[in-house]
Amino acid sequence: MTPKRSARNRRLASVVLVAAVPVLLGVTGVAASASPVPAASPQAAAPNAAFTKTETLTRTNLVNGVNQVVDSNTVSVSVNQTQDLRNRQVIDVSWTGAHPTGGIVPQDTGPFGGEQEYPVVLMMCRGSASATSGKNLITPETCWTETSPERIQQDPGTFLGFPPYRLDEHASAADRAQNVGLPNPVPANCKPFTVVAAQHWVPFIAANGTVYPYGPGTPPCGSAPPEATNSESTEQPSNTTYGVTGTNGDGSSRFDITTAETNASLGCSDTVACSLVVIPIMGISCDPAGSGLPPGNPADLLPTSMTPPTPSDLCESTGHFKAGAPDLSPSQNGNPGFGALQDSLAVQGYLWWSASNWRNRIQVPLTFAQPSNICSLESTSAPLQIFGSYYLLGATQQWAPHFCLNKKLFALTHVIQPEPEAQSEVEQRSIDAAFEAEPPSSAFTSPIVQAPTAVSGFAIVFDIVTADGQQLTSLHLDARLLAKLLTESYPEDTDTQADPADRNRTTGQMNPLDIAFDPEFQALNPGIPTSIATQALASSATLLVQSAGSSAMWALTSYINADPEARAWLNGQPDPWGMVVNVNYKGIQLPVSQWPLLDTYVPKAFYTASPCFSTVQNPPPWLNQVASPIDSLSTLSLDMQFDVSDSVVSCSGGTVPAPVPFGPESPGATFILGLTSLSDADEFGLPVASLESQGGSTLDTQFTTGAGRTFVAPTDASLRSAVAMMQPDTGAGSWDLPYSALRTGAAGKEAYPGTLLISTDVPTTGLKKSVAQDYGEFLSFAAGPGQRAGNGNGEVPAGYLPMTAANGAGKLADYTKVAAADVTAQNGKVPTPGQGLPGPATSHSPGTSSGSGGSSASQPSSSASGGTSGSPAPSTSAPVTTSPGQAAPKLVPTALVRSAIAGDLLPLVLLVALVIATIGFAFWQLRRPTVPK
Amino acid sequence: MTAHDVREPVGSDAAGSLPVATRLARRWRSVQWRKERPVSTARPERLPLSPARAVILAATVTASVLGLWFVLYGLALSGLQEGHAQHLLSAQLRQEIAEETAPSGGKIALGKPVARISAVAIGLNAVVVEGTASAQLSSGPGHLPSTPLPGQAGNSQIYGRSAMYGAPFGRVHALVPGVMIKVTTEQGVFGYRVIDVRGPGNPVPSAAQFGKSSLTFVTSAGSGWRSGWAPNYVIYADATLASGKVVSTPSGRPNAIPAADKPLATDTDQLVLLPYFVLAAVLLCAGLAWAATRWTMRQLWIVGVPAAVAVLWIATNSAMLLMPNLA
Repeated sequence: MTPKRSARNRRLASVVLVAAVPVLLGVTGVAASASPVPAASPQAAAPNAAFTKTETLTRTNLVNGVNQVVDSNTVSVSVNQTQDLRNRQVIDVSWTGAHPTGGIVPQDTGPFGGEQEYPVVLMMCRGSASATSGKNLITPETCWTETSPERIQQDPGTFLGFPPYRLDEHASAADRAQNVGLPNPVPANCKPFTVVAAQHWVPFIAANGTVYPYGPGTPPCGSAPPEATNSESTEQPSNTTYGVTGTNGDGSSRFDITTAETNASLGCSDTVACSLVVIPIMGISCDPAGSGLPPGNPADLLPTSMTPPTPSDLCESTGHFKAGAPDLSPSQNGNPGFGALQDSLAVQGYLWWSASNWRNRIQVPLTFAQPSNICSLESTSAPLQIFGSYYLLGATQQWAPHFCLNKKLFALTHVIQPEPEAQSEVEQRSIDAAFEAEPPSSAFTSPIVQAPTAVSGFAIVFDIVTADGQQLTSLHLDARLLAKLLTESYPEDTDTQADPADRNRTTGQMNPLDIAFDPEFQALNPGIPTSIATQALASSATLLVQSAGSSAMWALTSYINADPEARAWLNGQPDPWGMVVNVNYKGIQLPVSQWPLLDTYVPKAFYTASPCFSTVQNPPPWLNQVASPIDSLSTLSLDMQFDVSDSVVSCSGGTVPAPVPFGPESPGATFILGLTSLSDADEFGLPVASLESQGGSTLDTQFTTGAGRTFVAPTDASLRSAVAMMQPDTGAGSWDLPYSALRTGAAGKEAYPGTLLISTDVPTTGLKKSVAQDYGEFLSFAAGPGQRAGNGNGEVPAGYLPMTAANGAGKLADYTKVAAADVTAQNGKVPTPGQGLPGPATSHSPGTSSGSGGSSASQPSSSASGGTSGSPAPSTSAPVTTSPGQAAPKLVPTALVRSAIAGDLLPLVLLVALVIATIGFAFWQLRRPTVPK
Repeated sequence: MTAHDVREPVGSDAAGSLPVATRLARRWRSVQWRKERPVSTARPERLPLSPARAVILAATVTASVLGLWFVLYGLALSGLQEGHAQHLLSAQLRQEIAEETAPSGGKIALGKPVARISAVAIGLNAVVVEGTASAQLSSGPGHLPSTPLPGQAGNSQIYGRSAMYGAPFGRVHALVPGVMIKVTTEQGVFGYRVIDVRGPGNPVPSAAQFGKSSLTFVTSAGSGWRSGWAPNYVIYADATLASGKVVSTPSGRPNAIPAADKPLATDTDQLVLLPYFVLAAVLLCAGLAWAATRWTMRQLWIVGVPAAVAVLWIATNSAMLLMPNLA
């Protein structure tokens, strides 16, 4: 067995390779750095940054009472979003003019990132950016880090008791003492570790006032907040970030917001102020003469005669590494080796709390949206449940509080369910309403409206590291490449390349291993190294999709099906380089809502050599293991955020190894693609691929560039173009995106092919009156006030195009308004899309339309529902923006929930039984004639 | 008396040529004679019943016995069912906690034991299962799947029945603020202090009162003559974490629940099985009626009673699951 066969070995190899990439960079880095490097993130120069601040930061040394300037930088920080943040939301932070980072490690989050020299530290701190005193003051004690080395410094003697932080010119005398910040009493577990030459502890103070001393060691010997456990699991790294500044002084990072929902100890919420603290590490400003040291303690006086390097030399050090150089032997997990590099500590990220660095901080005020569970806390009434599409979740998360916080309205719950399932359940009437984004598989047999509710789209998200170690920000994909990924046509591994299904029958040529090796992919996306894909393994040969049926898969396969190039390839025509479709998928009928896994090849020799697959009964086809669709889309988005490959290709440890998902990919060696929603891509900062709208040909000519092909990224403009093309389907009663017109029509060139129109299916007959009114209310809201872009309650977040006349979606909103009236009235009517609907000018009187013209009864109710839904709308912004902080505790009475069955059935049965028994007894006793004596 | 003298009157009627009803009536008659034979004739002797009357009488007896059985099962016998389930769940939970395989997050299979709760003050000591539909609550208190597990940050809701199936939450209304509830899960032992018991109209505690981790018992109650056996509205008891550290909440909890999991909801899914049990009961009756004409009384009782009780038990259990989940 070659080492490559064992997945564990392969991962190890990939780690080595990751380390090797910076080595190469380090060698060629000096030359390369002169040339302009494309910005790591397109948001770096975002003109619409929510926060920008510029400050001049200086490092000085106090020599003979005179401050000598060592280094001075003018640093600008900009943040793309600071308002109404939600838990797990990702914001982009970028900066210019900072000191270039050295000693770069692969993972820039805590605890390892702190070891870097001159990082830009990003952390969440509880407190208000404007507070100068009081309990809202931001101090290092209220800043969140997860691990001990980020808060605890100890000098075992390497610095002779005078590590740089004790020589800090800006620190108070008390802060320069030998032992600072130790809890009293010292936790019993920590006592053995506190006998050192000098130490400085920064405890963490939780939102409820609890003080966590941390303490040295992994895990810390003292207590740490319960949330500070994530750093040990590989799934979700800490959000404390030690951002890398390039040699040109610029840098950017994506920062993961955590609110009280997942980090109660830090406790950030709409009522507890928090800030993002940005500390560009400049190094310690030194006062080697010790003029600030506490007097009267001979042991604390700096020794005068020593052999170099003296503590003052080490304090004044400008670092161990060159700018941009990697740290080739970073500290191992949990063992950061304090002082291992004596000349490094003074400029390391670990000393973010020392006065010289702390005074350089830039505080970015943040505000938070109401927590997503606000409705479950606030509402006591039974919620109105709408089932279906995950692709509307971003919107319903912000719509739900609008409904539940308004006492005149109702609680709204969005139950995630695969759209085709929800759709058929509405028709069977086992649920009342469903969100979907595809026409029903067969037209509804009962009157059910499909009311357009939101415009969004699917996103092919990716995380691909380029040759220079940066994250790729733009990717071009055409329909044929997507078809190749879905149809298991990449054999993934040299050991499984023998799969006869993935082989050109005429030439005998084998298909490329994965997408990075595909000449077509290389032509459209030049410069992506195949080595990264090889390290990332399975995830570069497949597209991570949802296992259940979904409207997004229906839309994606509709798009592929309408592309002549992709369709011809699916039908068996090799691509210009001879790659063929996996024969099991040849001629597949599209579109489909649920992608089938059809490959059958079981690599016997490969499995026999594997420690885990060899023990599996009936081993599964390898490429189906590679594809491994995932059941929940929220998990899929999380996986994409943290580069977790779901392909079941690794072996677990233990005595009986079992096949397990590959898991997190190594930082610096990620190559993963997935299908999720535009709103998740925006919320979690996942880059989205541009899809080919037009161009390409079925001719058998090889190409080396994407010239002649148009690629469209999901933007408001491209979604608008797609909406403009939407056609009414009078038969199915829906609005559809005409995929073939998209490929050929002039308007289709600018339209994003992944656009989804999410509709609400509600019956217009058979609903209870009160329930029908609520649904009508919801639809009226979705057709009007709900379509405002923003992060507040009752608005739609990024990733949704507001469905308004200004965006060319007036026809859709008008249809929904009419549908809302019909739902409220329960008149059994379904308005015909595109027919007899009032134009935007007359949309205030839906009753005049022929679609619902006969329903005179619905007119008053529709205007009434329009009125009630309209009235809270202007006031939505008011309670939302003012409620944080000043929402007086209000008494919510417990709602009455009763059940006649529960209360009356048993007594009734008992009563009836007794009555019948009495009748029977009477009958028995009274009506029998006696025998005459 | 031997089997023979019972058999005689039946054997004399030309073996099965008569309609069943008539034969049953004769059987009835013969029983009456047999019973009254040793008794003195102080009371006037009654004439045998006509077949039609015998059928009516049998129907009223059956209907009232069935009704009383239904009530008896709901209030008393279903407790045996729950007790048995709790016994098994308790062993399973102990083993899983010991092995650290008990669920602590993600999507937990319905009916899996997740925690043990005990409140000495109201004699509560039960294993909590995942899910709050009627079926799960028939084996003990159930944890609402859309809420965190006890001990985790947030409000954890546990539903329990107050009248049927052992009524594990039958005395929740008697909780008073300050009483401690002990909860044991995979993640540790937690002590919750009761802050209130509230019915319709009583104020919901504020977020501050709930604290970082809280527990809400949801059950039903009835007032006046209903209390204890015919509850018709929902009451809640809230408790806040008083001892033990808040543990982390693993991701992947469902964010919504099916309708059958809501308070006092009925689970019509159970309706599917009911016809089969009713069919079984009908077949059993037919079989017994047939046997009655051929077997001796003693044979009939020995075979018939256990079979009837078994079918009746299963069918009643299935029908009971159609009752609202908190009753």
